[in-house]
Amino acid sequence: MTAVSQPVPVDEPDPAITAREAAIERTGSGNLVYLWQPRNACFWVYVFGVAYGLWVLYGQINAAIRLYAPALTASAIIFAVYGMLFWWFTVRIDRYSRQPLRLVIAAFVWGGVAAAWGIALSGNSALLSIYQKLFGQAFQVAWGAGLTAPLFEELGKGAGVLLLVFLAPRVVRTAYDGFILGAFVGLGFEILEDISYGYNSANEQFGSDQLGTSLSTVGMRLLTGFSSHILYSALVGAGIVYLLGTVAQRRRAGFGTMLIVVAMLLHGVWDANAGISGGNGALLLPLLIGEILISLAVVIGLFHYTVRPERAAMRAVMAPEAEQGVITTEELDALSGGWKQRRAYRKAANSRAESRVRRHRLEAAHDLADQIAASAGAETDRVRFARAELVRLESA
Amino acid sequence: MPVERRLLGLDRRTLLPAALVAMLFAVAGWILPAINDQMTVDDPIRAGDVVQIGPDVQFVPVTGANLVSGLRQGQPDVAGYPRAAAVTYSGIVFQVTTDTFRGTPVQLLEQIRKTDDGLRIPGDAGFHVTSDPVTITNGAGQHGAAAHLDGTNAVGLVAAFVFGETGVEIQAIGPQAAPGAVSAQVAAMLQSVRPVEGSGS
Repeated sequence: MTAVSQPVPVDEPDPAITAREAAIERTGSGNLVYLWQPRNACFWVYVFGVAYGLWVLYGQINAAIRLYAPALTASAIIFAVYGMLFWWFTVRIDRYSRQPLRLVIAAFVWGGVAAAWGIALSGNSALLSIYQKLFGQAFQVAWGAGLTAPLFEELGKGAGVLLLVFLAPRVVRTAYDGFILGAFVGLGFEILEDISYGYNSANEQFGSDQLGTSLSTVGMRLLTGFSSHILYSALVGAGIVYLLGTVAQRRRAGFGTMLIVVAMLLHGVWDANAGISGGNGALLLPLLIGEILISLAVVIGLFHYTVRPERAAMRAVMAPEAEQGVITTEELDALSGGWKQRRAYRKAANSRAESRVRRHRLEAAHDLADQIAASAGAETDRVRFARAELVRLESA
Repeated sequence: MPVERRLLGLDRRTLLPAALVAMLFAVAGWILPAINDQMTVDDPIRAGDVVQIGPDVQFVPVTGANLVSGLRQGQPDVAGYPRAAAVTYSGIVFQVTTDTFRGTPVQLLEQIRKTDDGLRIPGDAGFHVTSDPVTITNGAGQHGAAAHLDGTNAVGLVAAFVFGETGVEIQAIGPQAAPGAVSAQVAAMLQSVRPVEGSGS
């Protein structure tokens, strides 16, 4: 008689936990980034680009710093504050699988140093001069910027996202990652370019009123800057991820190329407004307003399109917490939803104190999601602490 | 990184994107500037041409000079006339710049001197005002101020006029020794700098 072997009981994997692990793996959320990669060719090009840009930037500042230090200081302070506001805003919209700080800084530095000073300055200057020689100064004034800046500025900024995709392939995986990193590259470019515009305006009126001429330029840039580099680069950054394809994003070369071309077109039209309006001041304002609205509509549309998988990933990561009662279903909806869901969650409070608690709980739930992603779903002290914080806030 | 994925010690998969970005640097930083340097401007001044600078100022370049930057009167661009223009003539660069300035020609010349002295141009290639100002008069009888301008490889003069609230800086830079006839033509261009009729300056 032979003994019949009994099947060994195996725990069925919890589908929610499996979905969580898949979401973390897919998005690369919580993965660490090490920029020091001597075997990565992109690392050396990044280092060269930033070093070369710094050298050019130093030369530009050094040439006139003895004359225009007050203008440079004033522009730098104003745009530092301006830059912080946009930094805060961009960090706020990156709420689902946040980019590591060092990656965001690397993007900002590339935009502000390598793209602006290592690529755009020399490329733009040379091409503008060539246009003038070939087609005359009137053509160059009307159309030169529109036919130059989109090339070297968008490609220069996009080059930063391309390098970061290959420097951090375990983190930069979704189109939304490209969107956010592109925005930070654009922010760096915008801030350093704005400061330089303020600095360069100091020599107007023969340098006799450097603060007046600089601040006038600064005011103009403050009014128009929000709709330009950050926005265009976000499109280009997402486009690059679509163009390349990653483990989390199926390659869509046509769509990616289209996004890059749209960014260049928006940028080109913006810079060619003098030519398009034919110097008609009355036409210029409606043109500017129309272009700002179109640009915002395009970028907001792309934001909503690319953020969907991020929200789904956040839901997958936090669904087991909702099942265990650590967060409520309502909180899960708010966490993985947009601003409307978050506002609805806060507004449902019966008092101001409860509203504050709800806001804190959402923030704490984000912290828990970050810790779960960082531990790849494992139970660690940090995860337990983040969960305990939620419990503490519940009883507060 | 596995050894079979290396080329010269670098990850093969990173070579293409790195090369693309390096190529962008090369095009922007060296190739296009080199092409631009090889291209020359050929826009000869003909008899009767007048160059306008900004809304208020004009000058008459010598016939045969080459208009390097700036626009002829009657042919503005979409923004009007640029605030600077330059012609070259027998190795001399004659450049006129205008902008708002409230003061006298001597004060403008002093402001230009301060600026030239304060700039740090690579290779000490900048110019410095090296003489006291002297009074000059243009063809319309308006007085300005002029002084010598010295650089490492070239010399010249800088002159200043103020028409109303429009300051005008004129630089004529050339080799150490210029033929007398050329100097006379440059002096004629300098004298031709004046406000545009009806501009209010």
